[in-house]
Amino acid sequence: MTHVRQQIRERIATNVTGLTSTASRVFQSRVYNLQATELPGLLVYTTSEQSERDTFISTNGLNRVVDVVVEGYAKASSNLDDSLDTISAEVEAALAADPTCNGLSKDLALASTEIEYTGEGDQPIGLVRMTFNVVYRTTAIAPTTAI
Amino acid sequence: MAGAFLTDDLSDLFQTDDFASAATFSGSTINVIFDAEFVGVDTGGEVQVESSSPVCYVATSDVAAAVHGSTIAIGGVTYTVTGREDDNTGVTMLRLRT
Repeated sequence: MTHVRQQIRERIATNVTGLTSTASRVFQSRVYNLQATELPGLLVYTTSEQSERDTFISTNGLNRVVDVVVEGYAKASSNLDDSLDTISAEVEAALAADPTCNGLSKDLALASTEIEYTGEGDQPIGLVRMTFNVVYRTTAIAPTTAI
Repeated sequence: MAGAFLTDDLSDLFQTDDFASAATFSGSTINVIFDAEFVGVDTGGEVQVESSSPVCYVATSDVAAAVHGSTIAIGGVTYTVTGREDDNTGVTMLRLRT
């Protein structure tokens, strides 16, 4: 069995695969450079998680909030800002349509969005970084099972 | 103002039978030395994006009118000027994008 965090990340990657702008160019936890042919594309990461026991006398219940980061990259000589906003709209709508991640989570919400541009390279490149807070629950002894 | 000894030999530097290639700027054919070095572009995200950094070196007198947004055709590709760096000795580097 896999950690529920992994299951959530994989579900989110599935939910953002096939969007109009980024199609199948979706990569989980990528560490290597993106090529021009992989743009526009999405990268999905789980970068941090906060957890706490729900009560002192419970059966080891843990309430968890994992930050799922979806980064959208685009390259264009014009209207790059529009491209990034379109990517953002597509990702937000896709994830909002499945706030329980197919039953794995209690809630999912967009927490922040950052946008960056750079003129390095042969065309301008932009990044939209969306952080989603995903709330889920497990027991301490069974982190592979959502409860 | 650069001394003449600095600019006298520029035409030799930009010979197309050496390192230069022909380009079209403002309807005229000029000679430039083109380069497009690899660059890993850091957008602030988790990874870099592979790209290149096209530039051309040219006699300043050939591109006196070049400003940001000007176009120059090199090797069948039309580039837009995004930066102009004069060395004040007769050579200008134009930063380009496609």
